[in-house]
Amino acid sequence: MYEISAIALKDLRLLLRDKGGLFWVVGWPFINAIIFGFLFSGGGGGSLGGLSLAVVDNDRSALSAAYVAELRKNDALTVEELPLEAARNKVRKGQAVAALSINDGFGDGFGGLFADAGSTPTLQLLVDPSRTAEQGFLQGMLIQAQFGALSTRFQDRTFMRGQVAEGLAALDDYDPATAGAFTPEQRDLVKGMLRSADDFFANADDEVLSGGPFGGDSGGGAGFDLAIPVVGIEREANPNNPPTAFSITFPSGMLWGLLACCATFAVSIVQERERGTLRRLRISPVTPRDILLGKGLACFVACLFVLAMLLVAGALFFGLTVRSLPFFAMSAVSAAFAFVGIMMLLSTMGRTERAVGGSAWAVLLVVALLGGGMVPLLFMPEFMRSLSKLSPGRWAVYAFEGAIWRPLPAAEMLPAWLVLVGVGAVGCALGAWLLRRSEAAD
Amino acid sequence: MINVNELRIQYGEFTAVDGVTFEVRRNECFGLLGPNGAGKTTTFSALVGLLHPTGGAVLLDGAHDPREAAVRRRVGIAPQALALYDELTAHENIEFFGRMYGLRGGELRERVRASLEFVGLQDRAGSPAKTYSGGMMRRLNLACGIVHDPELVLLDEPTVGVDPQSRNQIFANIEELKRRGKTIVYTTHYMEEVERLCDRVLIMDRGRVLDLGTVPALIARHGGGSAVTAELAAPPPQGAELPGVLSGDTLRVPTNDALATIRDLDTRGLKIRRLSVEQPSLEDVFLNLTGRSLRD
Repeated sequence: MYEISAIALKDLRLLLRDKGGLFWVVGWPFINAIIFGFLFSGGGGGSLGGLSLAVVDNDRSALSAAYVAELRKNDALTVEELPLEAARNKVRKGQAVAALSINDGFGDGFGGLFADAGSTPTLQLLVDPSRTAEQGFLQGMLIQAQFGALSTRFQDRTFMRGQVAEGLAALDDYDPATAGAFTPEQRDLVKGMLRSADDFFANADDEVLSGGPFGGDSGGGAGFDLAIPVVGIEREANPNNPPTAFSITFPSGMLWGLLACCATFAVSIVQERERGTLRRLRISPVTPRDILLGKGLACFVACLFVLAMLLVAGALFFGLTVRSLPFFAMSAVSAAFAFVGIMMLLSTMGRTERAVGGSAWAVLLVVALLGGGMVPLLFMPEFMRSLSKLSPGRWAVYAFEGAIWRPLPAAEMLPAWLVLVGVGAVGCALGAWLLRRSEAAD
Repeated sequence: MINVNELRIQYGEFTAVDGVTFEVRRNECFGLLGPNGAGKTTTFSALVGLLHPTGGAVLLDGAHDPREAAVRRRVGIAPQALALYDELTAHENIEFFGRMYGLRGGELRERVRASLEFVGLQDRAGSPAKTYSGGMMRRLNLACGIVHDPELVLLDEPTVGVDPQSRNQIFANIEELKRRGKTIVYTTHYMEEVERLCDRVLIMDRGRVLDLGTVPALIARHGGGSAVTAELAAPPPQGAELPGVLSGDTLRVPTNDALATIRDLDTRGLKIRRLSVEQPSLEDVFLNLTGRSLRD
């Protein structure tokens, strides 16, 4: 055991001195877990940015300015004022969801805000027909802004009194003989209401007016608020779903760590052969079995170190939680043993570093591909998930996920652990036999 | 100490070592001399149990197989190809190989220190081996082989590719090992090294033993006689009878007694500018045995 641990210690020391090798064993799995974690969590949880809207203000009225200001208030929109042709181009190139044209007459009274059927529209939306879903969102936000602008109008004392005066004048010119529906009594009633409204706009103090005619507790003092109040509801944790994206990507990163350790130590035996130290070791009292066990022990320790490091870093910096530490320990030990076995097998796949390194990565990439190292098991189609059972990588990821977030009882974890230990045992036995055979042939 | 009997090693149809028999005595420095491809390294590999003989046997102390762990603990080796970990320091390299021979604790520390001192690398003990010169690497290679203080030291071409300073240091190391009573097997194709270091020499070529003996004995058997060469200051007198062959102004006289030959030349009235005595070397021995030079 003394000689075996000395060989393992020496190999770990060599790994620590090899900065390139160290990056693949320690750095790469970590980077992999972080990058994919951020990708799967939608850019780190930050906003994806608002819908891009190009605005063409042809009206240039106070109301159109108020309307554009209302649009800008909306965080869900990114508004850019442009000439018509530039706005069209933006939509054509997919740089804006739509272009909104505010036409002449928009600021004329209330009528311009909401176009009548048959009249020239004062608002026009130029859209890319392929972006249907975004247009739906956008139209809702445009209407919200229209009501926002309307509310601003209602708070404008002068404008409102002008509108009332226009209405009174129209009623004065009203001819009961042609109208049919309005009786003189009704006209007098409406005129009375309008005079009361004029009186209100003339005499109401600013505070009341800023509440608007429909004021009250609608929020912010603006008259209309079409925004539906949003109440945050904490999502109920579904035990069948990972709590965070990092819960998926860290097990994948752990698989990459195991693969890198496996590839690194697989070439170490041929490196010993090429540098002549294997010959020297074989002349010493240590047996080929000791040499192989030393390599295996070094690989095993490196695997456990990488797994522990990823777990701790994930927990400290990325909110990774572990459902069961004993399960994780079992998973780590069985997975490390499996990849030690694979390492021993791969180490016999060639006589040179290049041959072993090349064939090792070729095999390990398939293990990673099927095992969830590239595409998480959760996102795999059903047939791929079935196929993945052939990969020891899949069982390792499954075991890690079981320890980290999958609500699996020990009975369901056991098959994964047994498969991993079995792979390790077969790999070690086969690798040792092949190495002895190749050494005997020397 | 080592008995090699009818050793035969074959690779398919090719016979690398063909019926080699010899004995290495305790406390001697035994040389294996031969050109490249003579079978020295193959014989060497059989001595340390790396190669299983096709025929014959290699025994230590008359009974032990060199593959036995207990026997291996008594043997140290400095292989021809440097066998070191470049990224480890000299100290770490020696310490690691010491552990492989079961050294530990205070004994390991002491042996590592002594080995570093022995090869003169104590000042660079903390530097990675990859920063060493070729000669320093060779010395470190030797230190790794003797860290466990073996009785038998096998040195396979230990001076290949080293500078003269390191070569002298290695020679001094080997002479010191001899003084300490170690048994040394030394393979080389440099006859000067064998002449300087080895008590007995086995001359090999094409897998076979050509002869075995001390250097003087081998020279006496196969080297031919000495020769006295005289460079004449003036042509010899007309009709003078000369004992050797005159070529230009140089007279070469084969002899078994150089002093008598010189006296004889003096009595003949020759005007001699310079005299020299040529002694036969192992190069002559090899040339006479094979018809080829050692470096062919």
